[in-house]
Amino acid sequence: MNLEQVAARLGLQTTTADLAEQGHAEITRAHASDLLSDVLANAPAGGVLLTIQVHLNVIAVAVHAMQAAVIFTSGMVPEEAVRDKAVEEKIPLFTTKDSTFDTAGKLYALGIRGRYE
Amino acid sequence: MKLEELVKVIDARMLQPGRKEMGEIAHVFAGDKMSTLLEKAGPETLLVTSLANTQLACVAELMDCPALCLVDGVDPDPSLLEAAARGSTAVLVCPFDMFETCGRLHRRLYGEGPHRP
Amino acid sequence: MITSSFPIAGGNFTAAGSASRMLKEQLKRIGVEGQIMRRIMIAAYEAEMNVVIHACKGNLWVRFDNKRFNMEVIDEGPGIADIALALKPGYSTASAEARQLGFGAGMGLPNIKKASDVFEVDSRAEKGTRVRSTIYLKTQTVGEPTDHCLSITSELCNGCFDCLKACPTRAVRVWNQKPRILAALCIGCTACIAACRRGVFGIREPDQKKMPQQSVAEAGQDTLVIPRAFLTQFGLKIPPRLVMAVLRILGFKDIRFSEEWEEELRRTVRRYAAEQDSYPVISPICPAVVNLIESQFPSLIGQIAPFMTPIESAVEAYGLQPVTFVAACPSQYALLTRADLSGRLQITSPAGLSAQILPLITAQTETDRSEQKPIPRPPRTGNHDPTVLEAWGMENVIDILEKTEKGLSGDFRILELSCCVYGCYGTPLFKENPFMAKNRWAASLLGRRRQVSAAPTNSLYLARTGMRLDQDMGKAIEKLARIDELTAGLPGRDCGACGAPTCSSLAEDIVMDRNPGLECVILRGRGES
Repeated sequence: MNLEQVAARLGLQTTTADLAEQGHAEITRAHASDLLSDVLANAPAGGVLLTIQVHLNVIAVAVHAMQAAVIFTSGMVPEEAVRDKAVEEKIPLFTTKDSTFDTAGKLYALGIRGRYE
Repeated sequence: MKLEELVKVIDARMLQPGRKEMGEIAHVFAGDKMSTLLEKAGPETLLVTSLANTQLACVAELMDCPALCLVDGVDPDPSLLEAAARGSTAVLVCPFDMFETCGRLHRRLYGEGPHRP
Repeated sequence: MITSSFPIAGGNFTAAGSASRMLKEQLKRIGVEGQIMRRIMIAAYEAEMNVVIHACKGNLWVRFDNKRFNMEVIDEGPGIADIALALKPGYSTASAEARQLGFGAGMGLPNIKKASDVFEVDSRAEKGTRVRSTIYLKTQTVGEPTDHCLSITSELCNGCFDCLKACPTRAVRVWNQKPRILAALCIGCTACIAACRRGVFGIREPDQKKMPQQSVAEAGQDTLVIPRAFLTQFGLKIPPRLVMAVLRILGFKDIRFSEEWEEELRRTVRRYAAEQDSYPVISPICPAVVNLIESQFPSLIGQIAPFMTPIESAVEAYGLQPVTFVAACPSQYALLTRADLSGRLQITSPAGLSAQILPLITAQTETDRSEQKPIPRPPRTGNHDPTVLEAWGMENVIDILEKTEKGLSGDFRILELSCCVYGCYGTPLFKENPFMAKNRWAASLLGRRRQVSAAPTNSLYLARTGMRLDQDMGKAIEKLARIDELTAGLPGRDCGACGAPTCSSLAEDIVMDRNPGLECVILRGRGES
């Protein structure tokens, strides 16, 4: 399933509409964390990141960790500066009112898994 | 749902048993920001986190939260276990990462299929 | 009322949370639970962690009873440079270590504010920060005093019952030859103090606190805030200038007058009133009058200009610095006690401060015989603006408020109402005649305009529910009916012999079960019940 389909199935809101072409990326993995050091160390490349951290640093970290997209959960919404940086770095951003737990559950049901140990 | 059932689906080890008359777990909250864990912790909540420090036990005790689940097979500070013992908080450690842990717990709690919360 | 304090060690992430935990134990004992407990725990833990993360050390002070929970967390540390920024969700200056442990989300202060009914934070750079939070344990207890601030010396009472009639809110009783004050009805004015010729009523002396001269460590650090009248209390031979000199000998760094804030409030309210379109605006210059409005004239609450009373503004101005206040009346005393949980603010009565300086004054006058007689100068007369109504005396104030309620005072833009003559000059805690005192101050030429500001109030003026007969409207109506019925059966003389000021007060006391064995003395004499 690709990013666009995942977003549609979960009802995620996109905040980076300009990055439609990134939506073709195939998604098989995801990582949930609010600690940026943990994301850098452990997030599987090509996966989506689930977090409530809307800080500007999240984008830089997502780029380094080669994440396909960032989903901000629990109704957290990034500021414009963060959105602009994401567009610049070509990392799609999504938001949802669901908690990290519920979002993970829904992605898991679509067959997406965590880091391979 | 009883904690014991949730323990099974995530292959967790119980490092600290918690209250004898622990009720059911009705909600799961996953995150790494102490302020949010504080807000979401409650008498029927299981907290899932990448953190492993003593303050988790303190937050659980203050908010009457019955159980903590640490992910990534982490080894917590002994002081966390002491504090948890004093506060009658159960401490689990699970070998999976947060995303995988949430996915499995969500599936066990709410099942798969269209009627997910 | 339980008052406790718990220390917090900065930087110690293992022991952190101990203060909140100990607090929880205490609260459980008085039955706090559920949502209220959650809110208190969130406020306490976040405040405690702020100290651990940002400061060197601190303290969690709490005061609570079954109606209200007050918390103050004061720390010694770098302080907060920009409070507005600190209150922004997501903004944090926490260290990398703290962030790794899951802290530093920038939600601390916003979460405390969200959990609180009343929230304040203030800070001094390089000194520290103070966070205050109030959470109501039961609804509808806003503004309820749980205690009045008067001292009652029953042994002096000779049963004249003058106090019963003097109280404007009928809060005084004399039961079993002991005068009593019903705290829910008391507005902290000075009527009973003034009425009693035997000195039964006064304000409480706070627990023994040190005056600067007795504590070397504090010497030279304390500021003293007094009413100007204090300087004029010692007679013709001891002029204000001399009293000031003696107060400086006591070691105060600075001496301020509460009227500085009162005058600034008057100016501020005049500016505020210019922008309003409904009149009159009531200036909160006297806290007893504000209490009176909250108790008896709740429909006028919306007309009180939204600023703190002068003594509260003065307390705000001094924030975390050591300061001593002289309370001129019970309502000021009550405000000062509520403002100070940590004991940094010292409160004393006029008599208390006089006792401290009298020995020094007599010593001074003996060495100072060449003091010149001051040239009498007429005092600055009050405002000449006929649309500002300045009045004092509880009977006058009540009359004016009643007329205002009926819409009969719309030709005034501003009402400046005090309980006592000329504001604090007229408090019965000062022995000197208020008119002579005010002139003596004006002639002393000591006044010097200093920069102060009238702080906007950060909590609402709210109707007091102590007047309510019952929280449940149905029951309240039943009680009212019973009170009316009882009153009709009483002689209606309002003689006070039963210890209540009026027959309807006695009926209310009986229905509200305020004291066992209450009955009308006249009826008992006649053999009726």
